[in-house]
Amino acid sequence: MTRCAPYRFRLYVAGDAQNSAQALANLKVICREHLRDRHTIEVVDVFREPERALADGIFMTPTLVRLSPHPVRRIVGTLSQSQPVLHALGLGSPSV
Amino acid sequence: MNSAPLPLSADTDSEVLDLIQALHQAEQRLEELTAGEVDTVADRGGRTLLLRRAQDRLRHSAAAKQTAILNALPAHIALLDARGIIVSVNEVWRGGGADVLEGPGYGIGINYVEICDNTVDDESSEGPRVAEGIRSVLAGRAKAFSIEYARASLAEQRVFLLTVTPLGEDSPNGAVVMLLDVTAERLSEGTLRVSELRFRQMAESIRDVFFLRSIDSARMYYVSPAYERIWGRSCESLYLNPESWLNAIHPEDREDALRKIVETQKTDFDLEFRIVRLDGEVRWINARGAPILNDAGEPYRTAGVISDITERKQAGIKIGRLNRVYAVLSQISALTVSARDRDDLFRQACRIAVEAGAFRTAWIGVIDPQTLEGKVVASHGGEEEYIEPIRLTVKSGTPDSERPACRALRLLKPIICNDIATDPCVITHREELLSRGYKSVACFPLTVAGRPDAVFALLATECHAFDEEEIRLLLELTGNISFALDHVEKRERLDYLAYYDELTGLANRSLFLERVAQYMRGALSGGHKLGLGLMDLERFKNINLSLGRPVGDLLLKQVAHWLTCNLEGANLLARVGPDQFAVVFPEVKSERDLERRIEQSMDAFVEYPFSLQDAVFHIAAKIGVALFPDDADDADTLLKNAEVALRKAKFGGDRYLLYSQKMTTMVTGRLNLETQLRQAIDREEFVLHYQPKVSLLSGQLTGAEALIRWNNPKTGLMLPGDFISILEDTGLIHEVGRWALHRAIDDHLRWRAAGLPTTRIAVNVSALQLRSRSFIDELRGALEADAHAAAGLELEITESLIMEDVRLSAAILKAIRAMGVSIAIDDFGTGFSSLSYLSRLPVDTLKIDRSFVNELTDGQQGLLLVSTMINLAHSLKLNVVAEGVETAGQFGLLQSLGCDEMQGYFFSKPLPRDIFEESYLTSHAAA
Repeated sequence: MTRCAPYRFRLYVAGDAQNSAQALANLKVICREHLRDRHTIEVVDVFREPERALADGIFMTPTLVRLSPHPVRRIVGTLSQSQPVLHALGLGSPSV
Repeated sequence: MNSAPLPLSADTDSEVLDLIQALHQAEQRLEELTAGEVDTVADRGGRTLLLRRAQDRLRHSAAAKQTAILNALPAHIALLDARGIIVSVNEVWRGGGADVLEGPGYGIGINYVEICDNTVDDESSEGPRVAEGIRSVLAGRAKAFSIEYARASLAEQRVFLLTVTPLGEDSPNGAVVMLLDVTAERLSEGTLRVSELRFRQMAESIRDVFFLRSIDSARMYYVSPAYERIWGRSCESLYLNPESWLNAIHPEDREDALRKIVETQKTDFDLEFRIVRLDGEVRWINARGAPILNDAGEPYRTAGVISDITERKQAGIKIGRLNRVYAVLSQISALTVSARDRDDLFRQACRIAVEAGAFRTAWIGVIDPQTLEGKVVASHGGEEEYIEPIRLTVKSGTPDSERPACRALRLLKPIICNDIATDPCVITHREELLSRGYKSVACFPLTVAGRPDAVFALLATECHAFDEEEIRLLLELTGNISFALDHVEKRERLDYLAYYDELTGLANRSLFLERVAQYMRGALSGGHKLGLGLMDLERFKNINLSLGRPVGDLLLKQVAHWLTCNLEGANLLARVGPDQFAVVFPEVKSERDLERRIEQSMDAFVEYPFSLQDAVFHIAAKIGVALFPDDADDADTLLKNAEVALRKAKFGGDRYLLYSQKMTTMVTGRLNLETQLRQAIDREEFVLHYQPKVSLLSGQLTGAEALIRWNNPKTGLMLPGDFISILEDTGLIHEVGRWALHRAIDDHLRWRAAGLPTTRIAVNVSALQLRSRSFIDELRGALEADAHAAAGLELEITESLIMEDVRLSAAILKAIRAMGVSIAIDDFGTGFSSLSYLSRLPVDTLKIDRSFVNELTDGQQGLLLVSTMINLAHSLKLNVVAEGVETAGQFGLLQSLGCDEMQGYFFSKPLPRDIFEESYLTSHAAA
């Protein structure tokens, strides 16, 4: 693994709705713990940019998209269950 | 979402209800599916299917937040939609206000823009401007709009600030109108401006500095512009470095000032100190102020005023100084009366100047009138290393000549130097003065009878210590010291005259006796002898008479100087008589030892060339000595006995004599003799005897020499050798000489009148007579008695007397000859006549001294001498008389050498007048 390979995330949220806000908070915790200094997070508010969410095929919020490294992964929800989420994002310790 | 209303029917109602039911179920299903973790779900067309609960919650929370914010603001706030219709207001708006623009009537649903458009009245023109502002914001033409306007109510005037900001950033779909009552702010701003203006006027006009700073001086909050004027530093520099004003404190005041500043940090303070400006100027500062307390009652700031008190301070210093000088003046005035002597006067004056006058140092230097140099004799407050080496001179061109003190002495005016560091007048001694902390110096000459006698120097540790007024006072002061000095000096002079001989500076008789008495006590306790010598200068009277008294005085001074240098020193010497000096030998081992010392000294004395009127004189002296305790018990008697020994030495041939008891008897005899001689004139006890002179050629009488005899009734006839010196010493010689002259003339005239042979009579004239101014007149008076008197008179004057002053002698002899009196040179050969002199003198006869006649028969030498004398006299056409011819041999030789006349026992001894007359005159006349 290349240590410096950047993780690019895009989180689709519904304004500051409860679940969306919680998902953003959880994502920041995960990144701080596992991907310090090698990640970027882009937040897309579907209320503000509904066309973009549609174009990206996002039908539910909050949805997290891992843009890189490939393959692209999508996770819907508050990202509260950290172990399955880490696994899904390829950050869980067993898979590393 | 298009919300265009659709027409509703009963059928459609049930359809709609079903649909809603289905949707609701779908929503529930979705909610279950997403486990509540999803906020929105959209369909493929992008339409969002909101989960109701989330949406409600969202809506609810957003609105609540906005409302809370709006309500919390103290302003009137209204939300307008894109058309300007009020869609929301906060509680303040709802609560209403005093203005038409925000009145309670204008609630939700009203078009605020239109309201504003229509609000035009006399008082306000803001309505349309507000409307226009809102429109421009709603249209996106302006980012914001604000306007401030005043509204007068019944009670007061209020000021409002209205701001309009768009809702949404890019394309505003509404606007927020906020109305704020800023009356209080504007009011306080205005008051502030006014008070600030007043403060600035005050700050910039008052000449004092006032300041506000933190209690620890770390921050300067304010300092007024006067700081720049007083400190000569910018206010900015003080703000940048709030402690920089301390740096300017004068180094001498700094320690004290800083200590006080720390001490009074939290209390009222009032300090005085000096500052040094950047331009070097020194100023006196008064800083006073007080701490300011914070809410907790703790001092946290200091406010104060700083004044420039330089002028006041200088005036104060000046007044203080003048007061001190006045104090000095009065104390020194008192001193002029009380000072015991010169040293005391100087010491006290210096002490007063320092103690009362607050000068750092005062000293007085004295000038020796002989050497014109001097040094410091009294000082107060100065370091010895400074005072001791000071050398003074009145002369110019020496290394010390440019000292201010020396210049004051030379120029006889005060020399003031008010800034030693820069004044050129101290150029030579500047560094030394500065290194000792002196900043100014003043030197005042002290004069006595117009001559520079001393100099008074005052030194101060500050610059400009001597201004005009002070110098005036100090001049008065030095005048007083001079006066006191003169006073003291006169008193000292009187004391001096009481104990010292003014001419020679030696002790006089009374001081000498005191000293001798002291040495006597020393000799007694030491068990040794003491000698007292009394010295008499020989022929001093002659010098005084022939060369004049000033020359005689000069000789006395030289003798005193020689004695001081060659005998034991001035303390052992005295001048006890006109030409008498006394010396004490405090310790004498033996008589022989003393004699040796005296002999050595006398040898040296006789050989010493005294210089008078460009001629060299050798002076002989006689000394009489008396010993203690052998010859006397007290100083007075000791001196008298030395006097006795001296007289004996003078009569005899001894150069010095030690006293012996029998001398006293002898001298007492002489004293008696003096008394008797005085009486002898009145009692007519003097007689003239005549010794005939005869021609060697013819054997005939040619004349006679008159010789004086004293017919002393007690002792019988006395010869001149026994009393002439006493006559000379006592001055009786004039009277007796006059008597002899008259008697000789009388005898001659009487014999002539009697028809006896005309015999010229020779009379001896002594030095004292001849030099007497009245002698010529007396002679003329004596000759006036008879026309023939002069022809019968011859005056015999010794060769040595003539040669003492040839020029004077020639003049006198000429005057004598003019009267027809002939002149004989007596004792010829014993003096030192030179031929050239002899030829110029109006002389008739040479009398060859008996000593040559005595030696005539002793050998070739004597014969040759007399032969030469006779030939010499003849070549000058002088008559030659040989004296003291006692033998036939002498007679024969003189005859053969061609001598003209002779006189002596061989022919006749001097005879009483009657016998002479009978033997030589009457008989010849008869023959």
